[in-house]
Amino acid sequence: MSDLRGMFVDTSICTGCKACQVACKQWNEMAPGVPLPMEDEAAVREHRAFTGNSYDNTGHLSATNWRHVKFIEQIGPDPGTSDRSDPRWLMMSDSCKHCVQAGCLEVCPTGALYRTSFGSVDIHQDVCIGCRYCVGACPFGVIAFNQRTGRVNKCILCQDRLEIGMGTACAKACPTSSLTFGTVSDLQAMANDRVKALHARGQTDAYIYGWDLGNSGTITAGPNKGTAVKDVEVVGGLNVFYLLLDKPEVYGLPAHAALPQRNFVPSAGVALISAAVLGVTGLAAFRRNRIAENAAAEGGD
Amino acid sequence: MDLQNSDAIVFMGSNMAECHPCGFKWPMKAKAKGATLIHVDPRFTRTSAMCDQYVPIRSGTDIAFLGGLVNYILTNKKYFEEYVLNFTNAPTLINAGFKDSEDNDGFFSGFNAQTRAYDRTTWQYQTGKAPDRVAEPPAGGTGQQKEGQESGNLPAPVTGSVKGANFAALIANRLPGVPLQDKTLNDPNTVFQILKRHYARYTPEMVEKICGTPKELFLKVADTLIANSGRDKTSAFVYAVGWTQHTTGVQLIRTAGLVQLLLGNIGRPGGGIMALRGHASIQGCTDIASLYNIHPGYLNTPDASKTHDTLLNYILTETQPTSFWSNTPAYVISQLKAWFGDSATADNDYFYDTLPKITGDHSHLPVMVEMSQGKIQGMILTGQNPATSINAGFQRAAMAKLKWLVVLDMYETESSVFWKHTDADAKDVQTEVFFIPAAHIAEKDGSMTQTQRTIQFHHKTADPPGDARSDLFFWYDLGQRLKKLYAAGRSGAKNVDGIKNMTLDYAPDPADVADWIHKDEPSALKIFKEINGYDYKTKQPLNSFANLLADGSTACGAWIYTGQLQLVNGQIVNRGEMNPGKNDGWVSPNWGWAWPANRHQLYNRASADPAGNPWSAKKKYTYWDAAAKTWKNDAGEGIDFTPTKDPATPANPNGIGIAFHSGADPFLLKKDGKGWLFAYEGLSDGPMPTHYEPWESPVKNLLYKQDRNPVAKIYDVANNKYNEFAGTQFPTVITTYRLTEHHLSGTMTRWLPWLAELMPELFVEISPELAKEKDIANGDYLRVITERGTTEAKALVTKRLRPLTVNGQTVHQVGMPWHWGYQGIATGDIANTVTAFVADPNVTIHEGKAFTCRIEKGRARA
Amino acid sequence: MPDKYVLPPEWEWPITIALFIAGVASGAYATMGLIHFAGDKRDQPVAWRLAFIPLPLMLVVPLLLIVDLGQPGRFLNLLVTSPGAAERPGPLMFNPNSPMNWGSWAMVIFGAFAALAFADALHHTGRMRLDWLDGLSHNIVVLAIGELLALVVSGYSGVLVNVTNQGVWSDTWLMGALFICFSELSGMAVALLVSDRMGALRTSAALRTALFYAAAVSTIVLVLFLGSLATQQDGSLSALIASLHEFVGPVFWIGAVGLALLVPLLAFGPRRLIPVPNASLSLIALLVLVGVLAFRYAVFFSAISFVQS
Ligand SMILES: Nc1nc2c(c(=O)[nH]1)N[C@H]1C(S)=C(S)[C@@H](COP(=O)(O)OP(=O)(O)OC[C@H]3O[C@@H](n4cnc5c(=O)[nH]c(N)nc54)[C@H](O)[C@@H]3O)O[C@H]1N2
Ligand SMILES: Nc1nc2c(c(=O)[nH]1)N[C@H]1C(S)=C(S)[C@@H](COP(=O)(O)OP(=O)(O)OC[C@H]3O[C@@H](n4cnc5c(=O)[nH]c(N)nc54)[C@H](O)[C@@H]3O)O[C@H]1N2
Ligand code: SF4
Ligand code: SF4
Ligand code: SF4
Ligand code: SF4
Ligand code: SF4
Ligand SMILES: [Mo]
Repeated sequence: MSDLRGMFVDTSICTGCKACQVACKQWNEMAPGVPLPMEDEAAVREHRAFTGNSYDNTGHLSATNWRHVKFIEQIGPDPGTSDRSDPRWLMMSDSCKHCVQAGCLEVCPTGALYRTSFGSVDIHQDVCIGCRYCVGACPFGVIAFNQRTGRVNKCILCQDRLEIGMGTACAKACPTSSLTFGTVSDLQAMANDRVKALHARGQTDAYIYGWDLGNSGTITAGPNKGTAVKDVEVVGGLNVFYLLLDKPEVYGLPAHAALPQRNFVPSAGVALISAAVLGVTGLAAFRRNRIAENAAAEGGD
Repeated sequence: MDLQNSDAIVFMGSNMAECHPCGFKWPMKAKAKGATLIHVDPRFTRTSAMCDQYVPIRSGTDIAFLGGLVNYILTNKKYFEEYVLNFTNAPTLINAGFKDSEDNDGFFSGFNAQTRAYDRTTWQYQTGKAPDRVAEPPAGGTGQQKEGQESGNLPAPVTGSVKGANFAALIANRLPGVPLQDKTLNDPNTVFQILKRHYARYTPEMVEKICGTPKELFLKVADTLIANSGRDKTSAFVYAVGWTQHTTGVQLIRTAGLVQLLLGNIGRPGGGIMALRGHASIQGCTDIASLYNIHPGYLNTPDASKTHDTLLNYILTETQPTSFWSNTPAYVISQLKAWFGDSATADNDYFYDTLPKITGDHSHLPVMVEMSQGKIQGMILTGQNPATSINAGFQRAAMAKLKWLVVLDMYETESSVFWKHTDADAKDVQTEVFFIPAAHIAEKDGSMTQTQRTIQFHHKTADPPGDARSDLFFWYDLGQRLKKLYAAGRSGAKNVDGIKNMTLDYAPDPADVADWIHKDEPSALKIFKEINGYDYKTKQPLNSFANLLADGSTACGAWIYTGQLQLVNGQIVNRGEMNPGKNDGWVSPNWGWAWPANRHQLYNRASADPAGNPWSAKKKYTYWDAAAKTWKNDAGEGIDFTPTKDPATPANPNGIGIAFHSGADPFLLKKDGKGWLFAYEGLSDGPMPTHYEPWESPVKNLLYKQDRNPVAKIYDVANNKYNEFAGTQFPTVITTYRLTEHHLSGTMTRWLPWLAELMPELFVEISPELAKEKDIANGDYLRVITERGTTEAKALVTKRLRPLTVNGQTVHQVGMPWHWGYQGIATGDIANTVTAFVADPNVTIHEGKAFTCRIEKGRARA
Repeated sequence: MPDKYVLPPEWEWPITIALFIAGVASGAYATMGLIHFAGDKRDQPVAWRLAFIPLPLMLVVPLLLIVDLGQPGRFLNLLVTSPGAAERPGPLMFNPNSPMNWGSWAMVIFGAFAALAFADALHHTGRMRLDWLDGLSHNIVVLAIGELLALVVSGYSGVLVNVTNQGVWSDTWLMGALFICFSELSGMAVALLVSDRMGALRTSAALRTALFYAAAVSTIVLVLFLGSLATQQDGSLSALIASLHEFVGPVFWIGAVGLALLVPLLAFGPRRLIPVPNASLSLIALLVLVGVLAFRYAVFFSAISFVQS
């Protein structure tokens, strides 16, 4: 479907400037239900804290961080030693992947989560009852509960912008075009070229996370140096997908994400069986007592 | 933007990805096209992360590194011979009396220990005989030639006004002799041979010893640069304040100049030395001078210590007979005409006399020193926050000596409440502070000049809140009030006449302010027009500085900006207006307007060989079209040369200005039209860059007895004590820098929660090795201690910093961003508490990039 | 597969108690049915008393859920398609993929059967004469359907936690089974309590055995659960250990395993390992109930976010 919209996140040219993160907050300040970070200065003062985790001080995706830039320092093969050969500092801007098969969407019992005409996954804030089922269902820990509104929030692929023909705010702000907005098919072509180009340049670590475009390579630096990597299609494809330079886990992405649905029928089946067993044992219990009883009665006479 | 055409880019003294994040897209384009990116930096930064090679270096030793490159290029004969021979002063002969620092313990000839200054006589070119001088007719009627006052081979100063002065004749009478050359480069007095001798000891081994840069990494840089320079490849250097903020800052950048001239990378696409400027419009601030020693357009401020007594002498002193600066008279007089208008005439020397003259170094540091001594009554701060800048404690204490302080700002900066953090008890501070709310850039019209000299005009999008007003309004209003106060003043008194006659006619046209609440905001466009220059009679803008005249018939605020407004068949076109999306080719000639004359690549005649043909098809840029007998540039670039001057034109010993140069001399602003490998003038600390240790260093100078720049500006005043040199008390090298997430003193970012949360607290980056030594864990508090004071910060323990082996000994380096202060949302200690007033001798920039400290675990205050 | 990257849904006390109570209600109903099926006339008084229990409990459940969601009005969005969710077909909200939807509907309909049972109890305990019920209440079909719904009510939340990406929760297929087992245990415990109070010795005796069997089955399911975690090479078991953090661990082992399983096994097993005087039947029943609550607690509070670390 060429009208599917998404983003290609090329981590190989991400400078970690966080413009995307700020652009997201700025634009979505207008979105309903999002607590405005500006609202209460004291709170912000309170909230802010130096994490010591490289240049990342906002921790992870949350109801108020719909986009989050990760910093992974790989100065040398082993963080424990002072060997600093082939130093790398990986950066990656993360958000909702707008999964083609979305765990959050599948389990939502109210229809608050829905698939937009752009193929993205949006939330009706006025429908969400804050049951948090989607939170545990997202394989990536993206969608999150918002204590202030009692509903959930996540990146909505700038639905409001898309509706008026604009691209996403974060991609717009990205100075290096590490984030590119477009139709998924175009982006896949672009991503493929990009991987090929990097491989040609000797950067054979590059591969695609989200779609299998058939690329494979080997990690050239860091603790996983020498490990083979190849494109992975994740839960039927990600409309927001990534070019990575190391194993997914290194970026805090699951190597094999799965849909919660995989357990539904089996789990229900096993439950039924167990219920049947319980029923039978229950009946058995009564029968046994009655037999014992009668035996006793006969003996009595 | 031209960086996208480079085959190799060395970022050195710049953290471009973090500090110029948007501009960084161009190097990334180059990389995508296959260019090699190199980052030479004490820290592994977000720029390093984007580069192919990361090369560690000890802060403040770049001259040794770059000098090493010069030596490597010369000894291995890797220089671009044809370019060097024809476009640089390599063949030029230097005065035989010149003595090099190599043979003189680190001093050049001419050093005076008392004045701590150089006499440059022995640095001069050997020249042929100068044309005979003719006696000069007394100018302006009245004056006469003074007796026997021959200074050098120049005629004596003349008296009298500029009225009727024949500048052409006067300049011709000051033509020097032609510099002598030896094209074989064999003469020991050639610049080439001197250079070779000067850098002979800057070997790769020596580089490793001094900089702590592993030899093989240095050689890799050298070979990459050489492989990517020459006829069909070009390499660029990119620097910013990682190079400037040193006691050797200017020489440091010059060393890169030497490398680029030797490799033939100046004046060619993808080549050059990219200076990434500061703030958003710091380029504009230097052009339209906010510096004490230059007037707009880089005309020197009248100076009591020079022959500047009259306008005529000022002009004759400042005019360079044999460079583009021969046009100085027109620029100076047009400027005075712009400032003083109708009543400014040749008869009253265009009120030149009313201009204040400088009497020494009045830049920020010395001014603050005088302030600390109570010599200064009041200060107006517009867009500056010194309370958090270099030796912040000292600066705040100095401000406490003021009677009054005016702060124009958008936020209540540390400076506007400086008394909160002075040693003096707040109630003892007598300074009266006026805070004037300033308008934000989006709330006012104006232009800004970005780092590539491109001027962009921007329009007001909203009225400023409350009674906030533009800076323009403040200064315009102040000027008007002064004029009123002086209106009754006695004419003839210099200061009175000056103020009385200021034009200041920037009153807005009602139509322009119709939509806004404030109807009295002065018109930025009128000022833009005055800067551009206009025909005084018709009041129509001038299209080029070539139209400027020295007879008062043209007015122009800054000649370099002439052409930003253009008269195109009767219509005034503002070339500063953006034409969005118009990215046409290599230089995008229609994206904004680059001074001078929309020339983006200065000296671009050098992109063609001496005969005028492109060096190669791949790097074809500006070239000579023999058929059309003109210079051409297919990218639409402005040609930085006389458009019809045939490359074969020989030098003309009697030619004025660039007519003195041959058709093969690209460097219009140089007196000999050459690129200077040897600077016989203009620098106060030597004709060739020499490695000196930073003023504060844990190690001694391995090359010379003289450890530090002998003419560095030092300030021996209370609360500015320097750490013991090469002592044991302060063994750690420290540098300060910026983060993408914050801006300078942080006023524009620490107040914004969105940015504050990204980098909430001050931290110091230290290596695990040093952390282990000091038993400091990631996130612990630590103290940075110098003679000036102590700054408290959290430790960010990271392998991105590394201990270096300097001459066999381990030297630790730490880095501290300097964005924090006691105001705003994200507050924190001030990094500049520990920095010192010590500066480069040429431009008085502080040494904030390389000094020493002691790191201790724990908090500064309980 | 334990997935480091999932955020916890932060289901805490209100949900824990709500689902515990729903479990007791459905368990009680199931046991009531069991007595009707397996018992004879002399057991029925216990069944009728038991029939009073599900309805009031089922009325508490939605209240607790609303407390948890903090949005009374919105609660309906589980059943009636909100106008905001235009793209969903039909007026009724039902997402077949969502166990939570199954559960919501099951609870609503089960509520009706609970009400029927309640009325039936009124009728037979002579508090109110509702002759029209006679045909209905003991109708096998009605009971069967009620049983089935009770089953869904007690099991759906288990299936629900299976159908997530939480470590441990989603690593097996046995959560639904475990939930059913434990709510059955609680139901039988309640029944035992009732019959004990009524001094219905015969019924109590049968229920003791039933409880013993149920505990045995539950134990087997739990062992299977741990087993299947252990067999997964990517460290699910260690994830379990990790998830049994702080207070949760003891609660699980002492409460869920100790009280809910071991106590009935030892007390009511054929070998009478602990001799139980009839007087203390109710006590044991209560211990089992506490154990079941502990189980719910352990499950919901074991969900932890690895993302922070
Ligand atoms: N986000 C952001 N952007 C900015 C600014 C800001 O505050 N924030 N400020 C603007 C201004 S005013 C300016 S002047 C520019 C400055 O731009 P930059 O000069 O790039 O900024 P800095 O971070 O001060 O210094 C750059 C690098 O120099 C390195 N360095 C320190 N000492 C040495 C040395 O001796 N040799 C070498 N080779 N490198 C050294 C530092 O480690 C640092 O990585 O940035 C402008 N852009
Ligand atoms: N240790 C150390 N010290 C350094 C440096 C370093 O690298 N290391 N860098 C040096 C460099 S390169 C620089 S440029 C200086 C910068 O030092 P400063 O210029 O003193 O610091 P800024 O934060 O840029 O101050 C600018 C102020 O102008 C205000 N402002 C912004 N726009 C406007 C406006 O339109 N009108 C008015 N009136 N005010 C406005 C802002 O709110 C801010 O308070 O710091 C120097 N200090
Ligand atoms: S990433 Fe998570 S939240 Fe986003 S669509 Fe996929 S499952 Fe839903
Ligand atoms: S929390 Fe809201 S969006 Fe998430 S599953 Fe529940 S109703 Fe749907
Ligand atoms: S697409 Fe829109 S909502 Fe999503 S991260 Fe980017 S800016 Fe935020
Ligand atoms: S804006 Fe672009 S470059 Fe900057 S952090 Fe985000 S993705 Fe990376
Ligand atoms: S000044 Fe603004 S536009 Fe220019 S690089 Fe910095 S952030 Fe980008
Ligand atoms: Mo700057």
